[in-house]
Amino acid sequence: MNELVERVTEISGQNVYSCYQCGNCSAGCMFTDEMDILPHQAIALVQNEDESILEINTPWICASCFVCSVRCPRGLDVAAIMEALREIKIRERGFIKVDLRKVDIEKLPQIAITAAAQKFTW
Amino acid sequence: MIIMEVLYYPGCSLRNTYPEFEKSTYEACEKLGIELVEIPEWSCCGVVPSLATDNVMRHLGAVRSFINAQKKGREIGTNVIVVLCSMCYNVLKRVNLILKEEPDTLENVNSFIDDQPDYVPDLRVTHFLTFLKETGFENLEEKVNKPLKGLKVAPYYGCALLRPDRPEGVPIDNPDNPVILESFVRSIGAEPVHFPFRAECCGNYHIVLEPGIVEMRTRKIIGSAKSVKADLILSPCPLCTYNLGRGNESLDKSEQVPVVFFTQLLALALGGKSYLPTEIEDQILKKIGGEKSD
Amino acid sequence: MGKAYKVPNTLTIMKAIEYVGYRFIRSCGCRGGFCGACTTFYRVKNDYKLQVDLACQKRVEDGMYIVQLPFIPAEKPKWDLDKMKSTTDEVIRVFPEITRCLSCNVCTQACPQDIEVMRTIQALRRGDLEDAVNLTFDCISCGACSIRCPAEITHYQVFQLARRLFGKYETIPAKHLMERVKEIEEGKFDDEVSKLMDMNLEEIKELYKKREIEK
Repeated sequence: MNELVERVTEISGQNVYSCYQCGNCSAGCMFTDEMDILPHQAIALVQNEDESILEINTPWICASCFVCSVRCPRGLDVAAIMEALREIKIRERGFIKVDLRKVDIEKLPQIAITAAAQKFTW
Repeated sequence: MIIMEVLYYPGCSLRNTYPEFEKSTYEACEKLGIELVEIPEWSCCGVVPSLATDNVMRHLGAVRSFINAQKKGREIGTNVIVVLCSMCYNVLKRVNLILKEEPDTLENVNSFIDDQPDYVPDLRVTHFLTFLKETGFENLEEKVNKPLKGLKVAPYYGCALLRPDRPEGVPIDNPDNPVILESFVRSIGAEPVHFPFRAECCGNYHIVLEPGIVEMRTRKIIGSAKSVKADLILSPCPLCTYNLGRGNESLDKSEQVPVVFFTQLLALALGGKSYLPTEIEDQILKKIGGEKSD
Repeated sequence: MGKAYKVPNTLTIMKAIEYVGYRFIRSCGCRGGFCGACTTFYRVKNDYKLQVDLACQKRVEDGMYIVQLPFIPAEKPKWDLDKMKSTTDEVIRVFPEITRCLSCNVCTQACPQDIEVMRTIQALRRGDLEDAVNLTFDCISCGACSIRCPAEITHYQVFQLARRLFGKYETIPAKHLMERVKEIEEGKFDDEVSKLMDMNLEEIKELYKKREIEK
């Protein structure tokens, strides 16, 4: 059963096996300081059907800046793979990443709330 | 003056958070002979593009706006939509390209929206900067009556104007070496200063759950602009502007760099109202040795 | 119910339910199309569309499968109009889930009052409070939109806040109303009220019968 790979491919439209672990994505990523593991390592976990990736913060720290996607020599949309990993969780029944009414949004502009709502809720 | 009519998608920020972005654009357009025709009943674009290929729901806002735009466009004889907000631009551009490239997705969306006419993907989504470039920055230069001479501007691209590069056609310039903002800055008489963080991410939606990340990112961006002695950071994006503002708040006054929308400087250079905070406008005027317009 | 019934085709859903012998203990209110209590979901034979109407207004159709849902729970957040401004941003701060709206328009399709529900939510996102207020004047808070909403928005509460804000800050205060409030505060009607309070039930009934009736 290649379930994780299958789901990631289904959602992202990307062939994760085409990643050859060069690490360009991780080298370009501006958010690695905050990540449990690096983006290319996250893809390696997916390739290995290792579901622990779903409990790791890396996909959630991704800010969809697309530097990785632009730089991937294999033409992989790495940001889309990160999105797929978030989506797998978000679509899970009962999973809540954020309750918008409980976030301090007093000062925040609508554009920020909307962006977070789109990425962190189903 | 020749008046050119184009469709216009404002987006939520221009209406609620940063009216100065929109007002200065209207001011500039009036001077340039461009008439922005707002798309009737546009829907929120969703701010961030959905990357899930198996779910078209998040594209619906964009598509509904396209359907309304198409109707209006046929009335006034144009298929061009001008967008000001980087985030809106990115989403609308992407969705439009996807619908052009993927007939199945188009059919899927059209059959779901059974309360409106089908969308025939013949619209062209363009960012206001691209629109200005196409009408010629040199033409713009001619119309500038208050060149912002001596003003050092750090053009900040952020992400949404340059990335992703798929589908082809989303970036408004070369993602690795963009020049469009620099050309724009020159055309209004100011001096673009190059700073290494010009295309780095401000932290995007993390401002909601992880504001620390945004502050860290934006302090670096502001510091980078400061290190090349920029008077201002020029922003095309409301979310970047907000995040950079939060970065500025966390810095000492001496380390801050004010952030303005590109259309505010444009309006000012064209001799119009910039809707800048008085303090910043005064600083600019002092720098360029001019006087206040009204 | 789970049963098929033959009823005259001139009846409303509500009348038809009573015609076959049921007595309403819920899902029935004003019977006049105003209160929203009798909101009924149905499908008709050979149609995938899930439809919504008020039982007291909608005439029965052949092959109609119906269900009347009790009011779906909604958590109404607290707000203090005095501390708010009349902007759409304020509405979105109280109901941030508005930002999840996908423009699917299922809410509009569900509204028995023909309100353009999605258009209203989007009007709030466009910063147009007045448009939102005008579009939702006929909302009866039945909640059908909110049951169907994939973004879990409770539209009728959102619209109520929009109207309250607009009413408080944007509409011209009704002069006669302000005068009357002043009169009340000055105690002009205190005597009459205390007279009423002292009456017994019979006296009140008598008074009601003799009341002035507008023609």
